[in-house]
Order: sequence, then C-alpha cells, then structure tokens
Amino acid sequence: MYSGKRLGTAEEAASRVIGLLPEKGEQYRVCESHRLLGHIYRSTGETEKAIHHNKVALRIASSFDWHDDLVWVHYNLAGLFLDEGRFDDAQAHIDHVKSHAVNGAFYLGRAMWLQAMVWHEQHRLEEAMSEALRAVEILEKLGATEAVECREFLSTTHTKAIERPGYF
Amino acid sequence: MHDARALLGVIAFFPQGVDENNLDWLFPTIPNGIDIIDKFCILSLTYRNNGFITMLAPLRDYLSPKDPKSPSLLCTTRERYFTRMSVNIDPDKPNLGETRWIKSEDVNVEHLLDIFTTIDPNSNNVWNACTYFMQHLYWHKNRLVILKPKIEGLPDDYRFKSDCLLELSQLYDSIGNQAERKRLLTYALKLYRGREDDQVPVAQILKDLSDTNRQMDFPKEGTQQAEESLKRCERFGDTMGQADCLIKLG
Repeated sequence: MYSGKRLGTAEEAASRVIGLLPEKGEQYRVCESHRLLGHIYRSTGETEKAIHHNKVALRIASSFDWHDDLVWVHYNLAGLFLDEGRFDDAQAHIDHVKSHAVNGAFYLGRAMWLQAMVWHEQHRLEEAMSEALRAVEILEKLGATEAVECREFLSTTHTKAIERPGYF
Repeated sequence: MHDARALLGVIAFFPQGVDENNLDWLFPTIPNGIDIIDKFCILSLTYRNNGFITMLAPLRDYLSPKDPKSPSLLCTTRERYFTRMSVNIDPDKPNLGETRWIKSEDVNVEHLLDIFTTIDPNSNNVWNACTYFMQHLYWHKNRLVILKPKIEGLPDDYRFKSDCLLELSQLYDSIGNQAERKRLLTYALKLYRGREDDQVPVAQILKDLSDTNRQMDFPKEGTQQAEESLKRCERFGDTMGQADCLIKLG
C-alpha cells in the first residue's frame, strides 16, 4: 500500500497528527494515527516499531472501550506476529478478535481467514482449507472486498495440499 | 383500564416487546406500569423473555395498533426513542457508553422507523432519527438496515436523503463491502455538491471515497479525492481534516 516518497509523506503526516493533537479530547484520532503508523512500519518491515504503535493504540482503545478499534488492533498484531513466525502470540490476538466478533460477521470472517493463514504457515493445510472456506462463505455473503483475496488464498492452499506427498 | 389497553398496544407493536428496565423511562405517564405488566403475565397476555415483556404472535397481530399514528402512548414512546437517539456520537466523549443501549433494542427501533417512514414519509423528525439510528449501529452493532430502499427512494433534493446515504455508507464500511460503500458515497457526493451550504460534508465524503478507493485498489482515484479534500480543508482552516487527508495521500 505504501511505497517510496508516498510512504515518507504518510509517516510524516501520521506523526504530525499525533504531535498536533492536544493530550485530551482527541484520543480517537491519536489512536487511529498510531494504528496507521503500525500499518506503515509493517509495510516497511520495521516490525518492532509496528508492534509498538499498535500496542499504544491498543492501550488507548482499551481505556475507552472502542470495540472496533480493539478488533483491528488485535487483528494487526496477530498479522505482525504471524509475519514473525510467532504463532502463539498471533493465536492469542486472533482469539481476542474472535471474542469481539460476536457483534459482527465481518470480524469473524477476517479472524477465520487469519486463523487459516496461521495454520497454513504451520503446515496444517487441511485445517487451513476448512477455516478459509468458512471465511470465504462469510465474506462473500457480506459482499466484502476481501472475499476475492481470501478465495485466492484458499485456492493456493488447496493446490499446496494436493501436491503434498500422500494427499491422495 | 385505558392505560392497560394502551400499554398492550405498545408491547404488541414492538417485535422485541418492551425492556422491563425501561418501563419508567418509556412510559412516564404510567407510574404503575410494572403492576400492570405483572397482571398481564398472570393472565398470559404477555410473558417475560430475556428482560423484555413480549407476547405471542397471534396476540400481537390482534392487539397491535392498526393506525400507529393515532395512539398517543405509542407516539410518546416513539418520541422517547427519538430523543434518546438524538446525540452525535463522539468517541472521545465519556457518554459513548450511554449509547450502547441500541445493541439490545436495535430491532425495536428499526421496526419503529420502518413503520413511520412508511406512514409519515415526509417527516423530518423521522428521517433525522434514521440518521442517528444508523450512527448508533455503526458504533455499536455492525449490520445493515432494512431502510435502504426507502432511503434511496427519497427525492434527491430532500436534505435527509444525502445524510442518510452517508450514514448508510458507513454501515457498508463496517461489514467490509467497499463496492457498495463507494456507490453510496458517490451518490451522496453528487447530492451534496448541489448544495451550497454543505461543503464540509463534501470534504468528508471525498476523504471517505479516497479511503474506499484505496481499499479497492484504485490508488489513483483515491489520491485525487484526498487531494481535493485537502484543498477544501485548507480553505476551511480545518487542521485535523488536513492531517487526515495527508495520511490518505501517503
């Protein structure tokens, strides 16, 4: 999503927002900016920085009990730990997303997809396929943009599974 | 006797019945509401279900007001709900938690709005309540509403149409349907652009469109919209809006 000069602009803008905002009364924007910095640093491979900003966002969102933001921060942290191969940490955050998903099928679909990715990385391909299939069903029913990508993931996982010795 | 019949009518009207804890708040003119309800339950006219007082479907059909505009108690209840919803939700304000009541009463409110947008389609009060309802859902319950065809069927020059479209687009965002969010935002933008007094929403819609285009992998379109929004925010001296646009431009 972010690249080159644009990346620098986004990083600068998000940092400026945090600096510009008063300490009280604009915490929502501060939280959003930390989330955004988390995205930016993830895309540049600066994982520790990305985790730091997501954890700051998590602290703010928790103190205000902002349900949606909590879901997305846990989701982002799960993705970051997955990138790092820290599956237990990723799983803990996926469980948080699932626990918040009672109010939204979209969250549940996204959490299942992420769960499928974790199992894929752990070479538990059958479980990954089953979870991804359920995620696709939910996301397609909602008309969610991510459904296409999730179906591609399912297809890739399926191909990988059938190429594995002993599948048939 | 009159109170009891009116109360039965209101319980019958709402799909979920009425929240037992809300009796004083919903029916301020009926001080002994709980005693009346207890008697209804003894007579099997109503029953308690998850904190709500409700009744069986055949009774509902029979007792539900035939003309919801006329019974005064139902109209009082409607106004109580509308007043309760009339708050702009600000996540930074401590009263965010007070608006969570919608999570358990959304079906009732939606039914109320569905009926009154049908029988009173020109009421600003009702359409204003619709915008607040969708705002409440966006924050507390991610789901769509059955009001969409009615909203889209409103005349384009009706002020609340653009406001409702904007709130509806947020609901589509909350379920990840960016294609429909984009369509609704584009529609709302067209309506707002035709109005001279609402240039601030135009900047907001452009920011939202920029966001949805980026999520749909249309970066060029998204960048153009963020740039236009930025110019507008600069013109209004909206520093935070400018910051948001700079982020979208990243």
